[in-house]
Amino acid sequence: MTHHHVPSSLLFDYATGALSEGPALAVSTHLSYCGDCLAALGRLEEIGGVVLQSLAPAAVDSELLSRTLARLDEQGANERKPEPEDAANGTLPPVLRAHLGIGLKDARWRFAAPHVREARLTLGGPSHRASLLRVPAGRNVPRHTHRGVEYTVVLSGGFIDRGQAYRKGDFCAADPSVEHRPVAMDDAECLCLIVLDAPVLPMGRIGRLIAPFLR
Amino acid sequence: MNEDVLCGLVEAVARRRDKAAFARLFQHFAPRLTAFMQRRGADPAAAQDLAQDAMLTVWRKAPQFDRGRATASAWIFAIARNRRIDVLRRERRPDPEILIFMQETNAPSAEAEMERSAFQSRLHATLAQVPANQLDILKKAYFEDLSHSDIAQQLGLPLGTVKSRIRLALIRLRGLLDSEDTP
Ligand SMILES: [Zn+2]
Repeated sequence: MTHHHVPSSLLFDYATGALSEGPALAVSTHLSYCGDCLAALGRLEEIGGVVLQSLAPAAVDSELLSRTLARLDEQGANERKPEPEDAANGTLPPVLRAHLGIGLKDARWRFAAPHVREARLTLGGPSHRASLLRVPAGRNVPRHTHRGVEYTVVLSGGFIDRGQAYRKGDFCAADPSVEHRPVAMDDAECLCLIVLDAPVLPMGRIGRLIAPFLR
Repeated sequence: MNEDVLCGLVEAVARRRDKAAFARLFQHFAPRLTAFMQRRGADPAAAQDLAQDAMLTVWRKAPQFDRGRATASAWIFAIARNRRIDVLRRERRPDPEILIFMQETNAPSAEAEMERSAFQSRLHATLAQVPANQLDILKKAYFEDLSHSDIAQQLGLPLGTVKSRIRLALIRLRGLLDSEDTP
């Protein structure tokens, strides 16, 4: 049961395909937990279906059908079902596992700030930065602002930010204007997905990347 | 072809690997998918390749189709959208079925199925009532996969105007927005 949802304009951009990969990953992670937003996406895709049906058919090569039929047998059927939750990956939804590559336990956790650990996720394009972040119970992320929008989805535990409580599955978008200092709840470590919708800038001679919340 | 017929064809492909059913789907959707890809900036040859690619994906993924969750045209729209992103932007978008992770009701009920096709036919009816300035923006978003801010830039409109026109169009199309809603 989630309480903080994806803003409708963002869900709309996801449905039309306009949202780039980083924010789309944050949205699809929330969708993995939230039946309401998944249903809302389904309705937006129904509009896509109506729009597709309303298009005037374009001319296609007369042999396109036979060329396609000839390729069917090599396709096979894709019966793959979502993998069940496995112990190695803990609580990660399938959409995230694909980007982590390995199990949660084996992920490369790096220092991000005192008490805070970060594991980078792989995205196809370079324009966003996506990470998993672990913050121990009761600890906080240093006060910071960002250059782009920062999207957060809680995977386990929870945090408090600007008077709001965010728990498993909740979605939080912080504009560049926001200066904040999220604090993990007292009862458990907080694990979350963080996506920054801004170019990643290298810092210093060794080319180390700036930790997301220190920018 | 109405949605029930189209859904039946996808199910025939899923259950019996029925090539005749696939051919009928192809004849209906390939020209529309080609038009769709052209509207999204592909040249005619590339648009046909993308349409073919989407239809081959339909063949492979048919076993995952579930008429309780989507009509055939909505399902194929989502496939075409994702394939285009995969091929042109080299980015991945999750398959719809992979999103069903924590949801309590995994099997859609008979009511959900009814609701789905009722919703679809209501959409067909109400789309005609959406005012032109809202409908244009809505179609631009779906055809050209432009974001809210891309559209604002392209039309020289304030972002707030684009947001409110899309929002009004969706409200007109009924129940598409949740009340709990931030920016
Ligand atoms: Zn939600």
